[in-house]
Amino acid sequence: MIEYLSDHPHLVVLVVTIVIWSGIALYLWRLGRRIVELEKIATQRRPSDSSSRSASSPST
Amino acid sequence: MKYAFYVAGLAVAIIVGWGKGILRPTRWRALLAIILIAVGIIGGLYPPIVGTFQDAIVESRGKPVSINVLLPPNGIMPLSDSVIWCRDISGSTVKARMVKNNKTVMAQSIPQKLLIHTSPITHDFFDISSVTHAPWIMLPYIPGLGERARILFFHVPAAWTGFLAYVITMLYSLRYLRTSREEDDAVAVASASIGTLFTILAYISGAIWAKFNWGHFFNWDTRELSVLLLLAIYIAYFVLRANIRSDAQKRVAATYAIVAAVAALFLIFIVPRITTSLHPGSRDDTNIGPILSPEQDTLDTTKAAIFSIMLAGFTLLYSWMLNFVARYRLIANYFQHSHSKTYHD
Repeated sequence: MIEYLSDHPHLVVLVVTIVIWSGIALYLWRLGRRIVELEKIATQRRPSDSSSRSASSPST
Repeated sequence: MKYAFYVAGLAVAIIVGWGKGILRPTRWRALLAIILIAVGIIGGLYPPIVGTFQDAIVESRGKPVSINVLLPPNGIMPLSDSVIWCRDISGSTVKARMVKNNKTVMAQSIPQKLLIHTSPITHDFFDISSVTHAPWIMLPYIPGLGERARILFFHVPAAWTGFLAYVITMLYSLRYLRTSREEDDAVAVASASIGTLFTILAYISGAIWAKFNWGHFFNWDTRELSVLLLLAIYIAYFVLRANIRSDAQKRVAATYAIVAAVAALFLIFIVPRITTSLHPGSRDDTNIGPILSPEQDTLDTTKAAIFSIMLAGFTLLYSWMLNFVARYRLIANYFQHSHSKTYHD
């Protein structure tokens, strides 16, 4: 196996690159999910914000 | 043919990436980006680069070379216990000595991969890794580049994505000037930051390649200088953005982004082509570079296909990143405003 990989160094580069890309893809995927969670918090807060704003607004 | 590959790749990326609007989260965009880039990495790094004896002769002026040469099934004929006669797929022949692990091997026991030592007196080269059976996929050998030709699949898509990001910044800045929507401003800033990230990636990958091909990380080449200037222009944009306090200042930044994208077009596509440069497609080059040249032999079909997959993958990766970076900016703005409102109340 080691002899085969030493004969084909580009395959070692391939394995390392795939590992790096898997890490980046996983990180980006988790980052996307965290943003979805933040958006949920924002949408939950938004109605209360608008109700408190309308309650405190002098025009209403 | 290669233009068809580029157009198909970019069409897929644009339809999946922008089809439902850039701010709408979709899993397809992310999944396709991950798959296409993984396929592109495997396609770019797995196939062996295979040349001919002529490539080896050109490559080995006064120094030993080690390159893969594809030999047809009947391309090796034993002349004695150790000397063989070899013919490659182009029809060139050499007399050689087969060596594996520095030991002469018998001509009758031909392994799939072997080292051929030719006589240094009669031939220019004496280290060739021959491939006796054609692999199902392979890339052509380019004298002077060898294995370093694989940079095409990473460096060029990264540079393309950087430029695309700056154009998208310009378009959304124009839209912001027209509509004053917070979303357009968030997409413009997010696109500029991702564009700068990809331009830096292209710059670093190019510098590492240049160290091994041209001898130095930085060679005072026109394109190296023009992209450095481009990065300076966008760093100035981020400095401007960091000091924004009002909507009127945002409009100034949007105007700057439009002018910067015009400068990007000039610095990326025009300056390196009207001056002499080490990069392909410069004024002293015979064509406009392997990617864009209409000549058929400038880019092999396999390479064009893998390059198009990477082009589509990087474009989708950009649209995926743009989606959540812009959404993050909008949420951050929302929390900042609600926090400051609560604090001041």
